[in-house]
Order: sequence, then C-alpha cells, then structure tokens
Amino acid sequence: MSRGDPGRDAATRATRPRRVNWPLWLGSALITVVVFLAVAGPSLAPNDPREHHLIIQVDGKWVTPPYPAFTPGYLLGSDTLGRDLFSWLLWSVRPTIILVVVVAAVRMVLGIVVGIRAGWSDRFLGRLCDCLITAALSVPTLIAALIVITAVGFRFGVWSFVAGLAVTGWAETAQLVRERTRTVKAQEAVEAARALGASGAQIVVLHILPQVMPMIWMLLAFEVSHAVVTTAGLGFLGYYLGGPIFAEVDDFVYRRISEMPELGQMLATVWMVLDEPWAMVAAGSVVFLIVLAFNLVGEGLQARLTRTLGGSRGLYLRAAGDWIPRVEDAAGLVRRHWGRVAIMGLVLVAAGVSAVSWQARRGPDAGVGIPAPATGVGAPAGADESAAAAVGGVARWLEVPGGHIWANEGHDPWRTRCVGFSGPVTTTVQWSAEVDGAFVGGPVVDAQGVIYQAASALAESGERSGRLYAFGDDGRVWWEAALPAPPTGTPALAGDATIYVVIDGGLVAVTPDGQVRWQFASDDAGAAGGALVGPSGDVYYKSPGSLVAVHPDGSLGWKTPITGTAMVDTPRVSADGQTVYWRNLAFDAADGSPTSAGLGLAPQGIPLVQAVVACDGQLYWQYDVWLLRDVGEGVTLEEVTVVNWEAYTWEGLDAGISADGRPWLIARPTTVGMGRGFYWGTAEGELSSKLSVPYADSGQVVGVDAGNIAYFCSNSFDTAPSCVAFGPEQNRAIWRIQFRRNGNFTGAALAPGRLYAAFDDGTLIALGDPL
Amino acid sequence: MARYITRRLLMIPLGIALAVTLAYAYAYVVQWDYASRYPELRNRLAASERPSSLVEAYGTYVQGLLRLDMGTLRSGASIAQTLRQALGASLGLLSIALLVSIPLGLGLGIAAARWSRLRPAGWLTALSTLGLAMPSFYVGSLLILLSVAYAFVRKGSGGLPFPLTGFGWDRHLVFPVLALMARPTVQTAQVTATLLTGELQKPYVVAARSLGHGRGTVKRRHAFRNVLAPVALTIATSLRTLVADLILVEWLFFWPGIGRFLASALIPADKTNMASSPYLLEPSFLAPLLGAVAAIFLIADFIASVLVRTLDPRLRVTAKEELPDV
Repeated sequence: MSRGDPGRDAATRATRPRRVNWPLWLGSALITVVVFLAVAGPSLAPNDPREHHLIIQVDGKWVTPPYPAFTPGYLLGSDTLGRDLFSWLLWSVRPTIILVVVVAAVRMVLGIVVGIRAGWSDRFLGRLCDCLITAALSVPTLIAALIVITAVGFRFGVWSFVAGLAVTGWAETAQLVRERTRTVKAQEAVEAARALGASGAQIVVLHILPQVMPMIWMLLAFEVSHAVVTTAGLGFLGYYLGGPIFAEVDDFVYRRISEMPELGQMLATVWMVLDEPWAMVAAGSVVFLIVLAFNLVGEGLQARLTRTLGGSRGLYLRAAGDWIPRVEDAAGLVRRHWGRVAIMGLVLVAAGVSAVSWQARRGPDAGVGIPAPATGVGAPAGADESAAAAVGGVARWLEVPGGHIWANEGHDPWRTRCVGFSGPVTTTVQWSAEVDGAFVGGPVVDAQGVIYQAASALAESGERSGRLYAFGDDGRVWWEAALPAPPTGTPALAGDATIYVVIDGGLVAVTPDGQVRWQFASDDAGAAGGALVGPSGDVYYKSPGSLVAVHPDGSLGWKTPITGTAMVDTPRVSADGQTVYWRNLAFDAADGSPTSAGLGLAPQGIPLVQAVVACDGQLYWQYDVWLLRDVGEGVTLEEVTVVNWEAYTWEGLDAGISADGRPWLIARPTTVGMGRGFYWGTAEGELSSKLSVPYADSGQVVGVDAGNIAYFCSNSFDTAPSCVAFGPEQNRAIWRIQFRRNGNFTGAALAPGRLYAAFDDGTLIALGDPL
Repeated sequence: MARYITRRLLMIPLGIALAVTLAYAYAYVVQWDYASRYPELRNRLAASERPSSLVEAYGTYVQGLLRLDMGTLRSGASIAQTLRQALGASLGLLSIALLVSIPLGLGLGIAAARWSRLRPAGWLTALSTLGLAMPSFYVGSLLILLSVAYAFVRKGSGGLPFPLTGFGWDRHLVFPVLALMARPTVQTAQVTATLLTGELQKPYVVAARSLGHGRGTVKRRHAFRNVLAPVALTIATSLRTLVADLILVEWLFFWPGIGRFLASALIPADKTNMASSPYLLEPSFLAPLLGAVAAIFLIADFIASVLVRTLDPRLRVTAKEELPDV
C-alpha cells in the first residue's frame, strides 16, 4: 500500500496517469497576479488616477478626452475627463480586494456557524437555522445588499457594505456545511463518540469541524468571487466606497464622477457614456479576471476534495493523506538546507518590509486600506504639532476659547484663519444637506464637530424670518431654532459653546441644544455682518452705523458710531484682547473709544486696508498689497512684500500670516474688477508662489491649514462658485472644484480633513476626506 | 399530489403578503431617515399628510389595495398602471431569456456529455467557467463595445446594428436578452452535462446499448429524462441570480422593467447620474414592487416543484412529500 493512501491499489495508482489540476494551477497563477496588483498596483501606476487631463498634444495636434488606447501616456486610454484608465485600474484593485476578502470571511464564519447548527441539531434551533438558510437562499444577494445599504447608509463606512453583502450571502456556504455536517453526523465514528459519552460540542469540535475545515479554502474562493460580482453590481448601480464629486463635462452638463479609485466606483461612473464603452469594458474585464481566478481556484480545490475516496478514514484524513508526504518531504528539505532557507526567508522579509515602508512614504494616498465613507465620529480641534513640524518652521497658534474647531468667520477671535490641522486633501463631496431658505454667512464648527449655520427664509406671508441649524458631521440636521429676525452673517461660538448670531436689528444668543437664551435689540436695522466673541466673552459686531459690544448676559457693553462706510465685515480683537479692530479702525475693548493704532505707518496715499493678526498673535497692518509688522508704537518696521511689479495694478483685499510666518495676500486687478490673485510669500518677504483665479468675485480665504495650504472660495461672474487649495510651493492649485449650484457661495469653515461650504440656495456641502 | 399542489398554491399569496408588509414597513421607516438629507424626499413628505403611525399608514394602504387602488405618485401617475407596465416588460424579458437559454443550455449539455469519461467535455467546462465569471453587465458592455466597433468599421453607415437603449418588442430585445441569458445558459449546460455524464455510466444505459439502441436515442430518450428533475431544480435556483441580473441589465439598457424601478426606489439620485426619482423609498410603490419580485420567485418555485414531481415518479410516493430546497 502506498504511504498515506491505504484505500487504493498500488498497481492501479502506478498505472493511472496523474491528472494535472489545471483549474487550481491556473487560478492560483491568476490570483498571484491579482494579489501582486493589489500590493504593488499603485506603485506601478504611471499617472495619478484622479488627475484630469482635459487637453493634451499628440503628434503636434491638440486632442480632448476620451483618449483612445495606446495614446502616449495612456495605455488603456482615458475616460471623458482625461483620467488615465490604466492607472485607475491599478489603483482600484487593492480596495476592492480588501473589501471582498473581508466580506467573504464574514460570510464564511456566518455560514459555518449556521450550517453546523442546522446540520447537527434537529430541534428548534436547528430547524430555525434551516429556515434561515432557506429564507436567505430565496433572496438574491444583490437585492438584499441594496435594501440593507439603503437603510443603513454610509454612516458605518465600509461596514455598511460588509453588512449588506453578508446579510444573505452566507447561505450557500451554510447549505454546503449543513449537508457535510449531516453526512459526518451519520458516520460510525460519531456514533462511537456518543456512546463513549462525548458531548455535542466535543463531537462538533473533534469530528465535524475537522471534516468541514478542508472545505474552507474552496468555500472562501467561491465566496470571494461571489462578493466581487455583487460588489461590482452595487458599484454599477451607484453604491461604492468613497464619494463622488460633480464635474462639468459639457456646457450645462455635469456628471457625478468618483475621485477614489475602486472598481465599483469606476463602473458607477463610466457606464453612462454608452457610445464610449471602452472604460466600462476595461473595468468589467478586471472584475471578470478576478472572479475567474477565484472560481478556478475554488473548482480546483473542489475537484481535489471530491476525488473518488475509498475507506473509512474520512474526508479530512483522506485529503491530509495526499498532503502529508509532501509536507514531510518539504520538512526534510528545510532540515538539510536550513542555512539557505534562513537566508532566503530573511531576504523575503526584508523585501516585504521595504516595499511596505516605501509605499507608506509615498504619501497618504499610497496607504493600504479601504477609503471609507464618513462615519459619525468627529475629530478634536487641537493643533497638530506634527503637521506643523513638517512645514519646517516653528509654528504657533493662539488657543481658541472652548477648543472649537471653527469659532467664527475667521476661525478664532483674532480672525487669523490659521488652523493647526490639515484641511481636505481631496475634493470628494462627503455629503450635501439642503434646507428651505438661504444660508447667510458661513458655518461654524464646535469642539465636538457639530456644525452651526444660520439661514434666512421667506414665509408665505412674505415676511422674512431666521433659522439657526445644527448639523452633525454626517450632514444630518440635529435641530433647527427659530430666530427673531433674519441673520446677517456668520455665527460665533463662545467658550461655553453658546452660539451668537447677529440678526437684523440685534444679536441673539442660542444654547447648544437650540434654545434662544436672550435677544439683544439695537435700534439700527439692516445688514451688519458676523459676530465675534472676544477672549473676555464679550460679543462684538458691526451694525449698519456702529460697532457694538454686548456682554455674555445680553446687556450692552458699548456702542461706538462708525460713519462713512456701508461695508459689512466682522471685527477682530488683538492678541491681548485689549483692542478691537474693524477693518482699518481700532477701538479700546473696554469702552469702545477709538485709538489711532496703525495710522501713519505707511507713506501717504497708500490706503490702510485692515489690521491683521498672525497665527502667533503678532499684529500686522495691511496697506494695499503690503503688510507691515507692528512692533510698537510709532515704529515702522519690516515691510513684508509679497507682490512685486504687479502691486501697481492690483488692489489688496485681504491678507494674513501663516503659523510659520509666511504672508499671503488676496488682490484683484484694479482695471478689470473681476478675478483674484492669490500670493504666497516667504518669511523673509519674498514672493513664493502665485495663483490666478479668473472671473472670481466676492471670494474669501477660508483658512490656512497646518501644512500652509490656503483654501480660497469664491463666486464667479460667469461660472459656478468654486474653491481652490493652494500652497506656497508651486504656482498651481493643489485642487480646484466647481460647485454646480443655483446659489452663490456665502461662507465656509475648515475642519480636520474637511471644508464645509454654504450657499444661499440653502445647501451646505461637506468636502474632503472621510472622518 | 393534489394536496401538495394546494398547499403550495396557498403559500404563494401568503408569501406575497409577507413581502409586501415587510417592504412597506421598511420603506416607511427608512424614508423619514432619508428625508433630512434628500430634498426630493423631504418635499414629497412635506406635501403629504403624515400618518401618526406605521400601523395606521399600512392599514390605509391595505384598505386601498382591497379596493384595487394602489394610489398615485405625486406626478399623478397611477402606481398600478406603472407597475403593470413594468412587470410586463420584465416578465417578457425574463421569459424570452429563459426560452432561449433553457433549450440552448440543454442542447449544449447533451452535446458535452461523454460516454466513457467521468467528466463532461473540456470545451463546456472551459465555456462554463468563463461564462460564470462574467457578470451580466460585463456581457452587456462587451455587446455594446462590439456594436460600437461594428459601426466604427462601417464608418457609421447604417448606424448601430441593434439599439443600445430603450424599450420595444423588436430589435431592442436583442442585447438585453443576450446579456441576461449568458450565465443561466452555461449553468444549465454544465449541470446537464455533469449529471448526464454520470447517468451514462449506469448499468441500465449499458443494457440499453447492448440491446441495440443508438447512442443518441439512449442519451436523449433514456438518460436525459432521468436528469430532468435536478436540471429543473437548477433552473429554478438560477432564477434568483437572473432576477438580480435583471436589475443590472435593465439599468444598463434603460429597459423600463421592475428591476429598473426597484433600483430607482432604493438608490438616491445623488448616487447615480439620473434625475431624482419620484419613487425613492415610496412605501406604496416599493411594497408592490418587492411583492412582484417575491411572486416571481414563489411561482417559479411552485412550477419547479410540480415539474420535478411530475418528472420523477419516485418523489410522488415519498411519504412526507418533502422536496430538496430550491
């Protein structure tokens, strides 16, 4: 008898030709390719898959997308936005594989547990499991997944997908395991074990599981292939990991596209153009190859396991009998050449560690993992020192009272616009919320990540009213509070989380749970601006004719007339809280009396635009396109120039200083009136980079993050509102997004990895990275 | 047999009622959660009077059903009429796909069954492996690609050979049917070939051959009849996958069937490139839709069960009259 093969005649075995398990070998080879692509795909991609190339030059001619296959730089061509399909496919394999393996593992575990229970027990629980299997088998996995994911939404990220895909997908595994359990249960060995007093659990563990486990790899292979098909189907219908943006693809035509590579996302957004099916075929082919690979492996393993078996040794031992001689041969080989094996092992481990660390060093997009959609957990508002250190300078931020992420229009009581965290890396729209009415000003974000936004609405009677909304970081409305009058600007958060809203004719204090605490009425109605809470807790705002200070209890602090200007702007305070600045005017915070700070510092004829407080509290004065650092009374010091010859044709609108001392400036051309120029300078006052935002109108610099990325949002004369992210290192935007809205941009706020933008059509959009 | 048929027939309306009830409850609960984030849903709910509870809403709905009134959508379209048209479109597509795939699958299976081997012909194994790995939308995309390539080669003269989208009981059927029938065909063929190959090794087949019957006669008339019952069960089982594929195929080719409406009723507009759907999570629409899907399964399961018992006399005399799960 052959060793490990007692049930078969040796002569027969010797004469029968050994059959090659082609499905197993071919499937294993394909899976090796798939795994290699999942690990190394992003490194092999020649282009950034999210980069749009709307026009390129080929053989001296300008061509627009979609680029056909074999265009230089585009091996498989591109989609209608010029995104390289080949790079996209290479990036998309990894998150898809990770997701389907997780889903398959969950299904396997559920299937084995339910299947063993159904096959072992004839009582109530066993029959219940039988019914569950029958019920789950009768519902198509795709429909069940649609129902579950629609109900759960994306609040649980990738686990929503796992739940949807696994809710019925385990049934086929359970059916097979049930049948196998019943077969083993009828064996004599089990009967003998029972007679010897073994409990049910012992029999399951010692007899049934060992005979079920050899099926694991086969079942896993089939489960993975089923999960890939269902995931691709869900993606095709529109459910996939990550989020979309809307991109303009033609005049007045916009299309929802994906920005995070994943196979389901690719299918969701490329199938619309039916007369350009190449992208869909490419993505579908990758799905087909992955499914084929796992199906082949499953079939090969199934063939191996179900080969004609004789004797009573059971499936596990019979299968093990084929493998045992091979394992023993391999063990002997290792013993004889242990030195070479050890060296090869060390080389493989070192290569693997190097590859993983090289991947990690390439940046956040090269990390392993699934880009999960938004979840319900916010992030703390504290400064990210590591991000600041990466900038290279010594960064300091003033501490925001209450630790709020975004306390008012300018982030903090000094309106520095400096944040100690990183802003959004991508332009993925995580969610958009709509309300009846028009948002006024921008949102504010408290320390827990709750977003507050004021809106005005027109009642049926024609009367205008005001509302304050509280949104969760997943876009759900937590509460809305009625305001006595329409708001006029961005709210402000105090250290105790009270929300102050300037309304037409006064100021309102609202508690964090939406109750109006008090209303302060002033005698001048009209457009005013946003509120600002100083370090002392007093609230400052500009009414049509005055600068007003209100105590936290709602009583008037002081009111100083400001005449000759109808400009609407939010005040700021000095670092020590002693002075309140409104544009180019300064007032004593205690009594509102005007001071002459800032005047006369620059040569005559150059307009003083405003006081600017840097991230570290240092005071600057913006004179047109120049910034002057104020280091004491009567001393003019250190001109910080970021604009050179263009200074004579540009008008400075706004400026700031980043955490490491770099100045930035927003200016507009004096002759044309529309368009904006964004300038970054070095800490030594030299021009660092410049970005043009043509046709921009009424924009604002939302903020500057810890990596010195400035976020600028604006309306436009002839196109939709847009936002850009711009850093000091290069003369082009890091990203740019246009919002296809009917309304105008009214304000925005930064949060870790997020930008919240509000529009006067009642829309609040959360842009950026998943939480 | 009559008792069995009666019992199974009674289960059909019960199953449909259960599906309608669960679907209504699901849509009712989920739609309010969605209302805070989707303006089209919020507007629709704001325009309607909200019942005080799910039970009250469902009671009103059932009363309407008993009057044969399924209600109307905000657009004024009758839900019953919309569903009737959609069901007709889907059943037509399914029926044609099955009418083509079943004979083709059986024929391929019979051709691939081998006399002296333990496995079917290798060409069918390869074909079925490739076919089962192809999702229906991928088959559809390949057909579209071929169609576009054909038009490109002919430099646009004559247009596309078959329409890519739209509804019609004419050439519009070609691509949806081909995309839908690919997997069930290879599945039926593989199962038929495997079972038939095993059947051809049995002693009675050897006896029939020794009595002078031809190979074809033995294969088709004797052996094939004995595998019809499990093949019928396989076809009924594949119907589940077919209905899931129906959603994808109708979505791809803009076929206005229940699959497309089901996707519109479950997927918000901002997840697709479509306009916002008036059917999104509408309970009075989703409930009969899922009820129709459940009806397809239950009726197909019933037909398969009866067919299996008719084809296999051994099952008719089984004491407990239990069949393997479909």
